[in-house]
Amino acid sequence: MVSVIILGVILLYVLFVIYKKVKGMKEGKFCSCGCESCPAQKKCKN
Amino acid sequence: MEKTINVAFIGNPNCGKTTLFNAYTGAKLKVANWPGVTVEKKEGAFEYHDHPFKLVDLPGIYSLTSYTMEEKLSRSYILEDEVDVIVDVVDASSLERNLYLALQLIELGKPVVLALNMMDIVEERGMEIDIHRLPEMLGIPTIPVSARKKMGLDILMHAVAHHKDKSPSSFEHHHDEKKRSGHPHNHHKECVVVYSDEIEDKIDRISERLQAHYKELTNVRWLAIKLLEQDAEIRQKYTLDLTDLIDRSYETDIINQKYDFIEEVISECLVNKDEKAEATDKVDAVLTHNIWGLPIFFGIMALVFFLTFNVGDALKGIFEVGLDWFSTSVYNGLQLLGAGDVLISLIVEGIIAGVGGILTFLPNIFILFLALAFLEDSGYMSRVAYVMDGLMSKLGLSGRAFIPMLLGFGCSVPAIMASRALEDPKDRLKTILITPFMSCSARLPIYVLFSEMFFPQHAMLVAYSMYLIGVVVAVLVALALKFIGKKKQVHTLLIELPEYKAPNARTIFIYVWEKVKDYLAKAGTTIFVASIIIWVILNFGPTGMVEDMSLSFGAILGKMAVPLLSPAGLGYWQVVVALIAGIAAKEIVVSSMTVLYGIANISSQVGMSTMVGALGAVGFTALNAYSLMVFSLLYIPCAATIATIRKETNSWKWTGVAIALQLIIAWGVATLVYQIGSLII
Repeated sequence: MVSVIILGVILLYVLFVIYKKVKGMKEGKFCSCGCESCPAQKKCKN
Repeated sequence: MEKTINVAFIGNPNCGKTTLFNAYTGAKLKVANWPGVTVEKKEGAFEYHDHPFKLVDLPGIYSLTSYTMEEKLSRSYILEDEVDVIVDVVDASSLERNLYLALQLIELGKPVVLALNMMDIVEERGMEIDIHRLPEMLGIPTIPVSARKKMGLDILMHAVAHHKDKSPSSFEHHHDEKKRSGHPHNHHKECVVVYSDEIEDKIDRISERLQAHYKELTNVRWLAIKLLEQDAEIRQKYTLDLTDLIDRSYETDIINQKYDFIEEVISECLVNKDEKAEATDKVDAVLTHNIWGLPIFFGIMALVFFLTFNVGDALKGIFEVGLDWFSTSVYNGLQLLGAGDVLISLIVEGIIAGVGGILTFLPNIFILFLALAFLEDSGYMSRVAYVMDGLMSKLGLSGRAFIPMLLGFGCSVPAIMASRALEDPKDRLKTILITPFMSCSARLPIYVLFSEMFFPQHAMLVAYSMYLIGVVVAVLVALALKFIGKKKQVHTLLIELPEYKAPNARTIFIYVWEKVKDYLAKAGTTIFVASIIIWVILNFGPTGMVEDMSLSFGAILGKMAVPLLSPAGLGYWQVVVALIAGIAAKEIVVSSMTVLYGIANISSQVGMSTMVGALGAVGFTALNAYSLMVFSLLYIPCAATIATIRKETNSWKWTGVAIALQLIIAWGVATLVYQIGSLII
């Protein structure tokens, strides 16, 4: 049971990260390479 | 609620616009002591005395002529958007140069407030600016401020709020009576710069025609001047037949006459002009020396990597202990909770090993960015572009193209975007193609790990050689592209060399903190997911879960590319899997290796010994390790960089060319290194 819960949490987090990345890519916000200070960060992150 | 006042911050590059913007809005946008940091406009909001303000930070420009992308962006925003007040941020310590843009803005006819920034530097140099005479001569409010020390900020916004409805011509001008022309329409009361009679006549006649055709126009004089300058955009927009008036471009005459007026302003408003930056000149005599400049640059970069390795490694020990403790605690905790072996393996050998392995390199990354921040904020980076100009022009590029390449030491994405500062589209494309060869910080963990594992006595030198190889390959590729390109171009470098200054603690903190934060965020998202995927493909095969990884999906995939990479000494399926995974983000090459060999703390002595033993068992030697580092340096850029190349070139074809170019060069150079190395060793 513990394994299932932990696995479920990990899976949910992975899906969340993938969802966010894909959503960002579709909107052209692909900058996920550690560039908070990038000159175009506003366009990418907001 | 009162109407929001839209304020645009504009000014020459490196005059402190972004620092001023940050001071008002509390934003933490990147600032640096070299030109071209801001390539897109940024917006922020704040309230002053219950009055809402919207601030826009525009890329630095020298004039309102639309040559570079920055100039185009800033000009179109100033002209077309709802800007209530333009704040022209001026570097008071370089007043002469900054006034050219100021005059153009005043001519535009919109409300302009002059923010005299860096007044502290003016005082330090023993100069004085007559802040009563200057607004008289320019006809606009002039407010001394210091963005770094947050001085004069309130009074600047006070002036903005009060002058939002006043165009410059609302002010009384005080021109020298003797210099007044005999032009029938005496503009000395309403215009900041009055040109020669010939030009003034033309301006009047063009203005009349413009007004007759476009009745809604408000900035007729500015448009007439631009038409006389034969500005391409304006000519395209206002298609009047003016051949009887404009027989040639009057741009040079207009520029010269503006500078005549600037000289007049300077002679009246600036005291002790000659006592300028002696210290900067003395330092520049050494750092930008035409013979020693380049070796000094490579020496400084060597020092950066010396610090990255030695200080970084000293700090790394703390992280290793922490990671060991965390890994053991999670393992024990999961066993206590009765979690299954597969789950424990996934979490400890997959997630913690993958993510934790990357986190232990944080001190090296921290030191690297700290050193780069010092170099940027001190004013040295612009000098590097200047020093490199000779070499770059031989490659068919301007020295300015070296700035994106330098930024590439941090991250390729902003570096590629910084190429927007280049005027020529072909130069931009060339710079975009060569910038990913510069070794970004994501590759650092690969160098640190493999150089310390296989070259413990010379780890720093080996890693430094990667950065040199990156620069040399970029130079050679640029040279090859120069020969392929048919057009022979003459490049002139026009770059501002800012004053050397003691790096600002806040600027350094923001720069380093943002990088560290991004590194942690990346570890918690991209590398987290990648570690799980790698664990899955290495622990599952066509028959289900496998004990022997060589039967896994990962191994099957890796073995397919083994023959291709064997000549480069990389014919190991484990290495192939790590390299493929590294396309998502370069750090994943390291996390893949940790997951592959199930090493919880890869950067510890035990972890490295285990890895060397495991790799040695399959015949992977120091030469293979060097070849792997070279390949990692040069092969396909990470996914974010690929997406940026696509966005910046707006072409899948050129994105494909960039990928293929890097892959071919990586394979070629790594093969060369391995084959020559095999003959020697």
